[in-house]
Amino acid sequence: MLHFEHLTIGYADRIFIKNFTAHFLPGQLVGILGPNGSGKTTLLKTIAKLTPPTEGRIILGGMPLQAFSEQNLARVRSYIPAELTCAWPLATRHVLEIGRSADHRNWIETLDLGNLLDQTFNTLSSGEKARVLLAHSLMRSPKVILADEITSHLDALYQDKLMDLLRDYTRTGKVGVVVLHQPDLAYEFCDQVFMIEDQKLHLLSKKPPQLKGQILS
Amino acid sequence: MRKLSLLLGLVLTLLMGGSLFIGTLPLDLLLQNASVLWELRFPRMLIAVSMGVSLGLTGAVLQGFLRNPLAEPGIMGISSAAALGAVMVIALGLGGSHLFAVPLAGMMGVVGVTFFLYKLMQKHPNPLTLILTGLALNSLLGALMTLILTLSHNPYASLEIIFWLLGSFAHHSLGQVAFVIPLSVAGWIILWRLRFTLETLSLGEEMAIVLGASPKKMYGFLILGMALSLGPLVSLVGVVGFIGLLVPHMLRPFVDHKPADLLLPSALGGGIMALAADMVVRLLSNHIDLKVGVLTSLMGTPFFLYLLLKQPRSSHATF
Repeated sequence: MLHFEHLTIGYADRIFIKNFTAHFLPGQLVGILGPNGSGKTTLLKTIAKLTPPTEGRIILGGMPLQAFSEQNLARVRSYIPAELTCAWPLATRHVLEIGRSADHRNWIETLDLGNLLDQTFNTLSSGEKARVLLAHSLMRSPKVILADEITSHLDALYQDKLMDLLRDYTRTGKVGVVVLHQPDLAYEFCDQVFMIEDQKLHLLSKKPPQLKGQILS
Repeated sequence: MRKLSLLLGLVLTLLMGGSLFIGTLPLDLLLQNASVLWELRFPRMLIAVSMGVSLGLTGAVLQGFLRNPLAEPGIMGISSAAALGAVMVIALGLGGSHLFAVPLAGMMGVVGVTFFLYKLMQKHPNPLTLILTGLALNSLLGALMTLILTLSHNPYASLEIIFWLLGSFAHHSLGQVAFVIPLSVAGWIILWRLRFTLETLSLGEEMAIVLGASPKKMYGFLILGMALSLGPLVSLVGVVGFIGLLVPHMLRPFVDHKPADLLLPSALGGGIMALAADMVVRLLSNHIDLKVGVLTSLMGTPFFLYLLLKQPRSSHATF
């Protein structure tokens, strides 16, 4: 469903990943690890079509990313940034309404957002914001869900809960790509774990000894 | 939002009716002279309302687009640009040459300045730059207008320009009104269609794109919509300041700060404020010849300063 074809990402003067080819099937949750400034966020933004790749291309459901209109792409992929501030003091319930999400299901209940709905979004803690943004994202039922450091500000309980939710969601035939700072979470929940290093995406075997329990940041 | 818009719509309708009966002429005389009603007060009322609607709407749209409550067509030099275009045409003696000449010149002015501001915002994406540029533009455009006035050899034309610059809804024929208002309405429709972009831009430009909006493309429509809704009207009426700043700001809490839901109430509120200001001007007209633009600026400036000082340091728009 998601192909990278000879993908090079970064900027003219700063290449993060060089000539990378990969193929992700529906139902896979992919974890991306890497030190600060290694290009994790840029990789996600490239998949989200927020940044163009330097070389190569991304193919989504058989169609090159560049061929999608913004509107069509919005129906199939969602992206959760690491940090978000609303320009206006909107209540959380109104933030959830932005962009006309079609599917409200029980995400509000699942993510325990009931008591946050009437609070101003900008006053929420980073962890609470992450839950709200995940709900906002899932309400749009994306085929590809991209999440940047969504678990970084969460307590252990919610970290597991959110990762569990993302895994269950991708099991329904979707692809998830998540940037993580905690290798243990990546190994526990992700089907494939990659590490960005030396301009390459390394596929990591599960729980390699040099990374065990170590927090990369 | 519906209740608020209904209420504002009702007030506006009542004012529109009521404004026809306010003026120096006593009611019994007025009823004998229906022509005063239809040839003077009716076009005046229509012009006042459309100007207010245009200002309220452009104010709300600009604030939403730039994510800055200080954005306003007057402060950013957009109204002055329309005025300069019009003044140039009047001073060149082309004002009467063609029905389209002055409104068209006004539109060109708006397009020029808005495009410049657009390019600037892409390079220097911060609200302070925008406000300061607006300040600089306003004083530059003002100086250019003064220059034109001094260079003009016709004292009568100069006087006309000065009075025109102060902003007044009076003395416009139904014919002029019928030409200008459809252009404004076209601009309103274009601006109205930016609602989705405004809504998604609340979460920043990146999230707007993620959610399917194309803010960069929509900038063109923003410019076109503002040019159409402000250019011709300003070229006819002159500069009426601060309505575009005050109205959206006052109404924003009533729509839960949702930028897209602000458009309709803000348009109606702008109409109310412009018409009310004009009614005050008319009620006082026996005593002093107050211009409506002077009145709105007198009310608006302290409010603008208050906003400027109250704005949190960290507030920023990213473009």
